[in-house]
Amino acid sequence: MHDSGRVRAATEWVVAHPRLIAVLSLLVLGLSLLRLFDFEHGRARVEVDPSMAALLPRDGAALAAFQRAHENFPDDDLLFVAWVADDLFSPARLGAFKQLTRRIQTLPGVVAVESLATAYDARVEDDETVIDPFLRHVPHSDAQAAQARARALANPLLRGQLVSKDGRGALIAVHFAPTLDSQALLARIDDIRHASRELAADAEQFVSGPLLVRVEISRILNRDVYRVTPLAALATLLVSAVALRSVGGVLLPLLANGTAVMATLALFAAAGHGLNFVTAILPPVVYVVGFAYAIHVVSDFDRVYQSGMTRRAAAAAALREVFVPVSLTAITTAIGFASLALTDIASIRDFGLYAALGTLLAWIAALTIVPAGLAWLPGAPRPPREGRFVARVAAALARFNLEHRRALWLFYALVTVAALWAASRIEVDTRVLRNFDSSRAVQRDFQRIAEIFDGPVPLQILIDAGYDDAFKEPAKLRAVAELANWLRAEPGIGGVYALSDYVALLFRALAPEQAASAALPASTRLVEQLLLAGGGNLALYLDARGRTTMLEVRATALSTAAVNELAARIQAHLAQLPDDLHGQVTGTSYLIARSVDDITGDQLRSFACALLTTFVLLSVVFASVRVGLLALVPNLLPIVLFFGLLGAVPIPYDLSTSLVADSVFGIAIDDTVVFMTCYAIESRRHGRGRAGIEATLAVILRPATLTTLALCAGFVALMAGELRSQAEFGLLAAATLLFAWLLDISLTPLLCHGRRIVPLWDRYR
Amino acid sequence: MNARLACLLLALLAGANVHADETSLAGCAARALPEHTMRQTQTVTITSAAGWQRESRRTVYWQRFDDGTIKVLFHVERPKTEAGLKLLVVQKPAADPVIHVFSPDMNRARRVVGSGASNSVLGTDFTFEDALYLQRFLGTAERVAVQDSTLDGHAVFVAETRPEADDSAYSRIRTFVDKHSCLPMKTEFYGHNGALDKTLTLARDAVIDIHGHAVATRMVMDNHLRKQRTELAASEIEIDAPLPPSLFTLAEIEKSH
Repeated sequence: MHDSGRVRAATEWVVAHPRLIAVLSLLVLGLSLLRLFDFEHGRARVEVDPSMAALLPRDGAALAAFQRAHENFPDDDLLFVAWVADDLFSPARLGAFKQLTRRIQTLPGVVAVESLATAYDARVEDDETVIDPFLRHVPHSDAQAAQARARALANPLLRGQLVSKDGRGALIAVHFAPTLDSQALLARIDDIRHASRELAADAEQFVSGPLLVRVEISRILNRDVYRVTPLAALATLLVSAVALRSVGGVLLPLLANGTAVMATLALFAAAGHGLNFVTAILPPVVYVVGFAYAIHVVSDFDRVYQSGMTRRAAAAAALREVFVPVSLTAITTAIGFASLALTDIASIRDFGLYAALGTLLAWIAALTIVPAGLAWLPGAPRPPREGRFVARVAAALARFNLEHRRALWLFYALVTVAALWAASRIEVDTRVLRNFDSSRAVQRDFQRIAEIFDGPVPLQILIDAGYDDAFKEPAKLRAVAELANWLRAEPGIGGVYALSDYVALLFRALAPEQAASAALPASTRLVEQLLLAGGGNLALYLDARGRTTMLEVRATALSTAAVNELAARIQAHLAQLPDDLHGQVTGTSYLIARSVDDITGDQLRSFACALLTTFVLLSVVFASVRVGLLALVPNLLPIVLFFGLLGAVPIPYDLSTSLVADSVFGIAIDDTVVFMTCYAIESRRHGRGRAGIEATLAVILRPATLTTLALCAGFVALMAGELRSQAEFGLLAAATLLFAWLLDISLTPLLCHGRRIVPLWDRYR
Repeated sequence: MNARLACLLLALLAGANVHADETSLAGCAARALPEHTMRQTQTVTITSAAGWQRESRRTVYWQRFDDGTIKVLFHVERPKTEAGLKLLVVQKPAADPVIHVFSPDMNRARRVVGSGASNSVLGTDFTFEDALYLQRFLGTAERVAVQDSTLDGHAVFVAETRPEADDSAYSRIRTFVDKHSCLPMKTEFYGHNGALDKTLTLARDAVIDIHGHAVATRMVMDNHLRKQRTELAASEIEIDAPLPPSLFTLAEIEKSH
């Protein structure tokens, strides 16, 4: 127990002013709710933003290339609308397809639509050159439709991209204004889906693409944030209600944590942030971390109150008892979260900073609202038999631990070795499509695009020559053509669309005699003049200065690891381009894949930072490097087990599961710190032997078990969410937390047994 | 396709008689083209979204024949890589234009047909349809609303048309025609979803008088979609001066090579 004058005065003040604290907390809660909910229209003000801005790195070469691509070339964050039918090239179908294109073009927020109806077509017919939009005239007969099919399949800029190679599928690529908010984007996609369904008649039709997947995930996250998080909170409450059997014990942690979560979210929203794929987990993370603090106060109060004190005195005593361990835990956890601010990615930085803020708010709420409420609310002490039962279990546990210490050490050593071995098989990969049930349209349609067309994942390759009009030189065009051919032969790439294809098309259409003997023009002047006279959309392939060209690649890769592997392979080949050409893989999908894997890696860095911070802090608090190291052991092992589990089961280390280590460590360290500070006290009273361990276990067993059970219930409740990654996060976090609890009641006592552990403040007493 | 562009550009750059009857838009519109011929040198500056500029120069010859056929010859002179490119555009009444493309690196002129409505003309922010608009505008067939207004303090007719062509890139086009000079000082092109895609503006301070015709010597097409602009500056303008009839023949184009 920490009895310094200031702490005593503060605890006395808290328990003496329950009404003031209640009013203040309700005021904070009310203001936060007003900021977060539009009660007039009955909807939340904070929604999940599906845009990729949140996943972009702050700077670096990858972002610079991405921005350069965006400045000079059309956006590649597309929605695909696909039609598939054996008689796709029939007058009726093509007419309806053109009508759909037109209808999409009329939607607000749509900035460009690529389809057969709008595609550039230049060809030779009867010794004339015809330049028209591909479907300027809808065929009137089957014969004309068959001709149109043959023309589409002969055009390298259409085949595979806007029309499937078997001629049975046609695709519309829709570009949206980047300023479109998530609600408007969802509405536009629904409009497009509806129009496509109506016009396609009996043809197979669907919308898909990386943009749609992101939008669908944000739609689910929006639902889950306001459905699963309360459900998780309810699960923790049910467990604590069964165990604590008191109104205050159940409602006060809810009020304290609810206030902390809402205040954190309100500050987050007030600072102009929106929830996104990363920050959507902020509410449950803050809730579970803060819940442990509140339960420690309640549990300690119950124990002290049984000794015959008044409620107010018991609340003050419990607060003094838990003040140091809970504060230590909160500070280390907050530092761990804050370390995420070092990352390059804005969403991770925001998550880290606001999770740290939320942790501190939850700490303040647990140490004010809960004890003040406990002092104020009426209630009777718990029956003494419960205390006796806990004491009996604690004694048996202490005896078992000490009598089977070798077996326990061996068991944990074996578990560690097995986990380390299994961890070597971890797959680092985020497969966004795994989130959807395989029977769901989102996954099925995405895979259909991959089957029917060149690939559903657009990548961009920027090639810079360093001087103006470079790519109008035949030599440079040949280099682009060679690169395009190499790309086409690579596995994982369905199609490539390059400037060389466009120039070749114009060459064949406007200079057919010369094109008969060469694929590309022989002079820079002819290239320039073909581009001028052709009038097509050169901006798709070449920047205004003619020094940077873009190759659009359609990849079949469906996971971040596959996209990154493909990009690395392409990048290695780009390094072999002639000296004056510099290539860079970029594009929305690539940047997201890279960011997601960076984020995943950042979690490890953040965890290492949290580990180091905790070690330093505990070494200082207990004035011993050895004790600091000992405290890490029972918290490091659950993380090792977690990685082992991840290697053993078919779940990858991805954006969601990478958050388990940090979250569980922040919670698990709580029990260890409480055990050690309690042992420091009890070992002075009962000695450092079995009696000291027994007494310590008697104090911490109930809150540690209760917290673990409640939090596990909360994590398991996440499985009610629609996203598979969220369910996996909940399951793994619950399993890891259970193991951490097991270690804290078995290994931690063994580590402390016989040791002199004295907190810093007691050394100078 | 470029015949219509020429019609538009010449109409805009050459303008109409400044002493025209101002009673109606139709009266203005009727005088929007030269009577017989036009020759001018155009300096075209394209400014990309990133601020980079490309400049080119071309001479444009325009002639209206007795049967209503309009022929326009574009002769690109600068920069070096573009120099020598010639486009001869033949626009017969009520027919798609026919273009003959000739490059010094091609053996002969190539005949090109088709609409290519949304295609860029000679790399500018003008498309075939932008040019075609003027003819529709003059023909009044698709004009749906005309009202009086002011633009920068000057009295204008505001005319709005709703293109009906199947391959139009626009849902409506709004033009502000100066009542005094009859020049369309500003034209707004709206996309299918109602957003303003492009704006064509004539510089009022660059309007000059040539033989009684108001001539805008500078115009800017702002492409809001691509965030770039094309500026056209006209010089060495001759209106209704005789042009050699052979100028518009294929033989002449290829001979110059």
